[in-house]
Amino acid sequence: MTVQTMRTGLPAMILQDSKIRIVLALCGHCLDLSVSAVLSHYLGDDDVNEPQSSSVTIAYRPYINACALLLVLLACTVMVAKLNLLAQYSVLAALGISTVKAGVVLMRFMHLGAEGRLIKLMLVMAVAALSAIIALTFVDVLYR
Amino acid sequence: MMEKTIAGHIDYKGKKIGMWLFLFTELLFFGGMFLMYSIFRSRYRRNFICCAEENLLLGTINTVILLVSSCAIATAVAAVRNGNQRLAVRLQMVTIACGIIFLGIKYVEWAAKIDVGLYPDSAALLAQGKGTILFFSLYYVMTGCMGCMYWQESGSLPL
Repeated sequence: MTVQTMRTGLPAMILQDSKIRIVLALCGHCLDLSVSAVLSHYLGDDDVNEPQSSSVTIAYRPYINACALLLVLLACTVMVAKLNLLAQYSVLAALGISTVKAGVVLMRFMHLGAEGRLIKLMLVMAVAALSAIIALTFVDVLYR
Repeated sequence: MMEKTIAGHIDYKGKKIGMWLFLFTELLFFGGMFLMYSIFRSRYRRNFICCAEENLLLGTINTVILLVSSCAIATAVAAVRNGNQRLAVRLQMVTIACGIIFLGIKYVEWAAKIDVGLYPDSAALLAQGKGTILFFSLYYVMTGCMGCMYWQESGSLPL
């Protein structure tokens, strides 16, 4: 933030690394108004607004490997269900394997790791909401 | 769908957020159904285990098809980025073929059950115990929703 911006308290456009960021100045008292400070960095480096256009060729092998891993995990799920290997822990084992499978799909097929923080936060919120619904419903059913 | 705005700008970020949001709503939608299934499964354990075992083979085959189609569409995206249009189109066709096979297997599964009178509100089903009725009601709703979703998603591929 420049010195002049600090003095006037007006919204400032700061040119930095050829990216324009809109910053509302913190010193709202200069305007006799309480201006809320929005210091968003969503226009930062982690949120690219275009698909990757690099000349690097993407390998297909990791997709095949991920698919093979998912098929092996599916075989494990079927074995747990069919042979009743883990008896009373079969549901827990099935859920555990499913979680690993979901992780593989998210990371390998859907490239969650390459996404910005906003998408990851959205995922965390969706999973948290679902977990809360499951936990509350089970508590309600078990102790009614 | 790659429609452009007046300024020639394509909102990749908006499209991406929209796609993820759609997937999260699917997660919550199917999550709710699985929650219902697991609660009734814990209550009517014996009925649910007996009924579910009938579907194990076809269910496993359909899961394999889903995994292969996921792999195909993810690889198709990589092929588009690599500029290999022919491979991308072929892989999308694999995905669509997987969708058709998936629905075909669902047809076989459903037809076998409907043939013996096991469908919602049928006399044969209503004569069964509460657990069996609940299992088949959930079975038809869940697999039906899954089939509709798969149909719609395979049909919306750009090719």
